[in-house]
Amino acid sequence: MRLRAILSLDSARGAVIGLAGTGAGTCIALLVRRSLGLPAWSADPVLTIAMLSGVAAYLVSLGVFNYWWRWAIGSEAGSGGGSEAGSGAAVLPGRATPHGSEAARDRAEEGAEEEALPLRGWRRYFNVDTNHKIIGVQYFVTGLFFLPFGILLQLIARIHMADPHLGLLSSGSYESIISDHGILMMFIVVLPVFSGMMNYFVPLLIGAREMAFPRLNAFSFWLTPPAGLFVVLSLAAGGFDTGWTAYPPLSASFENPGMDFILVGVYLAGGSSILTAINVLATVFRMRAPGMSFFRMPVFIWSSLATSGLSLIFTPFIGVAFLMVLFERLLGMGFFNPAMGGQVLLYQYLFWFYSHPAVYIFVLIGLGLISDIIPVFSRKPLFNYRGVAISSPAIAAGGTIVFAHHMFASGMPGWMRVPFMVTTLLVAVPTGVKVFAWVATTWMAKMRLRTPLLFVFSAAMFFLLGGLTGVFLGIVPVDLYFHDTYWVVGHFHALFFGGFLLPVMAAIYYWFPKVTVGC
Amino acid sequence: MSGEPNIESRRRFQDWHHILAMCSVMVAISGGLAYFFLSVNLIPNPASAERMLIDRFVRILFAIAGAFFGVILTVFTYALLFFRAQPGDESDARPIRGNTILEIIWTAIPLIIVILLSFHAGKILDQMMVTDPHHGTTHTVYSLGAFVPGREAPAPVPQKELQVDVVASRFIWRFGYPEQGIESSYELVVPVDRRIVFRIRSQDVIHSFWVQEWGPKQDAVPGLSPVLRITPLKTGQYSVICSQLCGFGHTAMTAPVRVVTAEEFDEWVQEKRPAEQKGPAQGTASAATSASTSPPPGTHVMIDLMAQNNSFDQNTITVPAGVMVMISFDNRDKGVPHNFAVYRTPEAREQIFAGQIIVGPRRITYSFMAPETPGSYFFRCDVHPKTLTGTFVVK
Repeated sequence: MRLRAILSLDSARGAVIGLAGTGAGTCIALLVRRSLGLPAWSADPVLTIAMLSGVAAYLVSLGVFNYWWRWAIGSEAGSGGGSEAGSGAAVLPGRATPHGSEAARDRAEEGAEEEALPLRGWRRYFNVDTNHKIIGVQYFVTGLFFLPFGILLQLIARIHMADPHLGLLSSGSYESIISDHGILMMFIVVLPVFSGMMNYFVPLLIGAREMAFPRLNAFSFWLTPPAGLFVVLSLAAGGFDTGWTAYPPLSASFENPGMDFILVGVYLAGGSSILTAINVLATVFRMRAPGMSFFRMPVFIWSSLATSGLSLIFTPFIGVAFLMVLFERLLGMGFFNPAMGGQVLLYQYLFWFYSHPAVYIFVLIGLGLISDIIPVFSRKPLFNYRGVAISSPAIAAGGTIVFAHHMFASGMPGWMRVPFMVTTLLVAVPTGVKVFAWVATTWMAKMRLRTPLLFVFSAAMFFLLGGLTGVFLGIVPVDLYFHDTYWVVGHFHALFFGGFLLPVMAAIYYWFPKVTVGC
Repeated sequence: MSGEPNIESRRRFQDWHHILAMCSVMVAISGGLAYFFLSVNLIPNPASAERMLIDRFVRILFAIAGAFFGVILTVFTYALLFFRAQPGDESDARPIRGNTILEIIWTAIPLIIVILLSFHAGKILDQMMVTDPHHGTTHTVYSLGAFVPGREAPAPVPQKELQVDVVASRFIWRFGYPEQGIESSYELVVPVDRRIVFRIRSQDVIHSFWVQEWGPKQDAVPGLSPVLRITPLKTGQYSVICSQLCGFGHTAMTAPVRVVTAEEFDEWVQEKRPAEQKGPAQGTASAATSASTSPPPGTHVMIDLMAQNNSFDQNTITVPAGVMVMISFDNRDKGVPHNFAVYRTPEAREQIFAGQIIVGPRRITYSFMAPETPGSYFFRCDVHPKTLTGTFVVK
């Protein structure tokens, strides 16, 4: 009975059947390879197929596809809006409105046809649930769950750096540790935490009852745990020493299958990010309460819009770049292989076309949080609200045309670096508008030095440092010195602390009571 | 009592109090930081003309960044100290929603600064005339004022540039001096006060050529030959390091650099050239002349391989596991392209190494790391995959 209770949780069922699917996929891959005359075991293709089949089995058994499947086969039960999966009815009949309301009403009307096990407390979060607050917390906690692992990787790396001859890490492990640290933190901590915050707060802040696509929302969350698992498992599979940027030819030829784990894991995380973006954009554009005009929305919503726009448009590019590397590894294709007519730099253009807007995805929401928290503890409104509101889409738009500044030393055409330098420096202007607005908000304020405010001040100073060091990197001749050095590492860590970690700490302190009461 | 105007002007007076106090602190801090940064040189050991240009720009950037930092720091600190709510005061502060003039100023000033920085940077890039992969020795103008790709640069360099070929492979740097007839040296020796043009190539993955004291770096990308121009101004010993993650041996991928006087350079060329004519395979034997030009002993093997009449001269090559393998490849078939490539199996789906294809008669030295796992692998010529094949045994 206990086992049944556990297995009734969607996530437990998903994990078990996902594991079985991994095994089944492995067997199928081995058999197919053998029948084709190839050696049965080859790490890269077999493990990749194992991962993909595991994820497929996991998603199906979770139940995220149930509604769409029923709709696709024309089943009557699927047409009314039964959105929850499995035996865990996530919405209690009594508390139906306003969230996930249709399903609840259906269920209440149907009566006790299935045992609507009332889920309370923590169990609800381990089930597929379309309620945006549940999904928000699921995303947020998943991200924070992986944060200590990322910190541990960084600590190990630092100890090794303090004295490499201690022998803490063998050669090659250090590169794997820092590469995995980067990927984990960016795609498995920052992205889910911010997706979670957007899911939780966007409907509340614009007066909508729910996100635009609740079922899609649930599906997008459940892509995240396997993504995190694969990124962590990569270390067990031999790691990858290409750095988080995974440049070919090294990433395409790197022997250990750890590389494949990263490629698949980031692919899943990226997919999750795109789906959340679709949801946020649709919700904000179409579901604002009457009277909620654009320039009445909190700055957090403006930041969410900008973030989601970038996420939607640009994430497919890293998907493509990683897929091409995967095809090079598994199928021997030669996109980036000059001997086969390919171009090495093609990867870098594709990769950075996403990865630069990605860094704005990683910080814009944090900046929105800072803009929303400072006024509270200053007891006065945000200075230059209109300017700050517009600056988020402005930074996003500007950030789309700066990407080649990561490639100044790469062998790209020399003259082409100049326009990218200009656009990179111009992005500093809307960023400055934000920072000056924060500062001006504290002018003649009545500050209360509560914890969230202290975190936010610290965030603002870190972000400023990070931004200023970025100006150096935008200047081509100076970048040719600082590229691939610790200057860059310091620059982006200051920005991550100021734009992600410290604002999130502030948010946890500030909104903990709100989020944990009820639901 | 005349009511509003007096209270208003009294409030404004208090504001001016704060503004004045804060501005004086701001000027002091920002000015101090700017002055400090303009007078120190934070990047150590400049040793080239390009570094001089970079260092000067960095000082200016630090001064500007320091000034901005000072401004923000001052206001935040001032607010934390002097704009606190009095205990028990639950009322709101004055609802200042904006100030158009201020907003315009703090948008316009950064805008002007970044535009000026861009123009200046373009000029500096012109003077450095660094990496120009598509135009080789002709110079492209980079400054914004004359932004036309492909236009010739105004001033020619008075002294003839020294050409050096840099070949990066895992995990070794090799330097060639085509005009001096030196094909392969493991040590980079250059004369001082003369502009060197490095043509940088990679044989396997992306590496990056960087001598920190010289300033700019340039990635070595397979399939491209980007160019880096350096004018060393100081004699001394330096190191090339690899600045792009290239595998497990990345951190060990260094090469010694010596900047010497012009006379010493000519002597070195004379010494090196006869050793070169014996062929690179014998290079390690002439230890007397060039102890520093060979890679560290024990970690590498050298193999001579010849391709003649469309066949290799050996069918089996045996190497220890995990060492650096250097294949001195001699393509003797005139006009015929050959290379040397290693795969895991004869199906050649998983590549371990693929060397640059060369058209004979020509020699080239490939270097790569042998796989860690012992076993029987497969080598072939990629151009003639059916006829030039062999077994690559890793012990």
